[in-house]
Amino acid sequence: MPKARNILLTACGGLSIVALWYGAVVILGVPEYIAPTPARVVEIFIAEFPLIRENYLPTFLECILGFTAGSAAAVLVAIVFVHFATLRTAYFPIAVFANTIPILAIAPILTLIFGIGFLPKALISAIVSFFPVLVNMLRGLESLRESERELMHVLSATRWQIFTKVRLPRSLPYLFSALRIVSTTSVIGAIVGEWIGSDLGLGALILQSAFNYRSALLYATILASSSLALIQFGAVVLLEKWVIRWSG
Amino acid sequence: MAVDFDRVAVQFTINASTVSPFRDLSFKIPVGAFWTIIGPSGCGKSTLLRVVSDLVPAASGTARVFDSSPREARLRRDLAFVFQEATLLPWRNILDNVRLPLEVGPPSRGAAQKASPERLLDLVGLSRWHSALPQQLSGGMRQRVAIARAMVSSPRLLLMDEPFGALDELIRDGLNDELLRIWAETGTTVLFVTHSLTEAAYLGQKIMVMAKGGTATIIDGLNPGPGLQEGGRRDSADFVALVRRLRELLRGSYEAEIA
Repeated sequence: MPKARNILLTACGGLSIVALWYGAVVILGVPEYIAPTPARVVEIFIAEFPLIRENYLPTFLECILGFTAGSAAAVLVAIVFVHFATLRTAYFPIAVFANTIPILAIAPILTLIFGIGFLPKALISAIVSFFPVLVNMLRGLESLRESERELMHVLSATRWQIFTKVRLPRSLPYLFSALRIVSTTSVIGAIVGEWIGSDLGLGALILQSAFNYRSALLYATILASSSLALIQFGAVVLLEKWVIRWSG
Repeated sequence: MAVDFDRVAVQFTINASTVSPFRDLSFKIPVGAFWTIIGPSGCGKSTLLRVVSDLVPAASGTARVFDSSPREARLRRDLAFVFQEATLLPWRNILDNVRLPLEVGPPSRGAAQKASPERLLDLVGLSRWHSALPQQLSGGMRQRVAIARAMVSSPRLLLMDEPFGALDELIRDGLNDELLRIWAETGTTVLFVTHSLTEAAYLGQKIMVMAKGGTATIIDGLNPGPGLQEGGRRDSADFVALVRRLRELLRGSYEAEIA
């Protein structure tokens, strides 16, 4: 019962904010090009659905590819770092440094190198995904407990056996907490990539509708973008429920 | 001899100062025996087990386990260790946790004499829990799984470091009897560290009373040997006298430490 109650409360919270927005726009007489009413956003979403769908698909593919490729690369690098301390000392600080460069600064470089096609956007999305997964995966692989280390030592387990039987399963909760974060930030990466140079995709549609004062279309596009993050986040949560059934 | 210590010393460096829990420790444990070890915290009880199991090296002296080095004994799969924490892998079910030693490390001696995981779970009374996860079990049940896991590779020497320390007294009594049954049935040598005077007195054929600085007194326990368990031993006058004697020995070692 408390679960149903929580869902109801969250729905009420959401509705109250929409109502507040609606009321403010109507009462203050805000012109539509500054802020449209919720009803107008829904109307435009339906009317412009073919346009939104056409721009949705490229962005969708960019962030799915960027998210999965970036996370997979980070997991592999973390595994290499855990096994080769020298490589880790040589390259991990560089990864930390690279992460301090604002993604908005990297995007134009990638556009210069790879042009305005699909690839640079997926790449930016992958870069955004890479670092959080790397850091968490490293921590997870090192979260082997002292008693587990001693147990495996007395059993004379090899490094590889310790890795597959203990380190890897131990790292999964850390991996999934990173994937939850990255499932939403990878969408930002793809959209930022489209801002730098693209005539297709939700990022491009956001810019076009903002420049043309089509704010109802802008809001509708923003809703579509957040659905991307929601889909990826939901997929991660489902996968986590299926993979991790244990606690402790 | 199952374990033979000849003037063994151990040294640790903690915060740049050298700590030596024991120096010149010598004793011999015959094959098939059940020894308990008792002593104040910091006297090196756990360290002793860690030397035998090749987790800690001896700084000087020689430690032999079945006439070879602890490392060789470990690689031969002669040893099994039960820790104070059950240390079950939480993502594996009970049966798979018991199977773990069969999946890792070098193969143990003679696959034929290997005990089946299912039978060991029967032996510790957990036959209906094969597919449960560790989180679903109580502390006492988890410790039983840890014992079954230790026995699955048919070890010749079972090392136990306060395995029942976190359990309440009645459960502990029950597990002590279970352990004696397993010992009688398998003929394995047991080296059992405990904080509890009654546990030390009840289980040990010999009781090693350690004092700080590494002197050890070895006295006879009341465990009559495999197959000779009788009920009600905990209430006998001999038992009460033995516990009193252990208490006096330990008090002596505490007073020496204070002085």
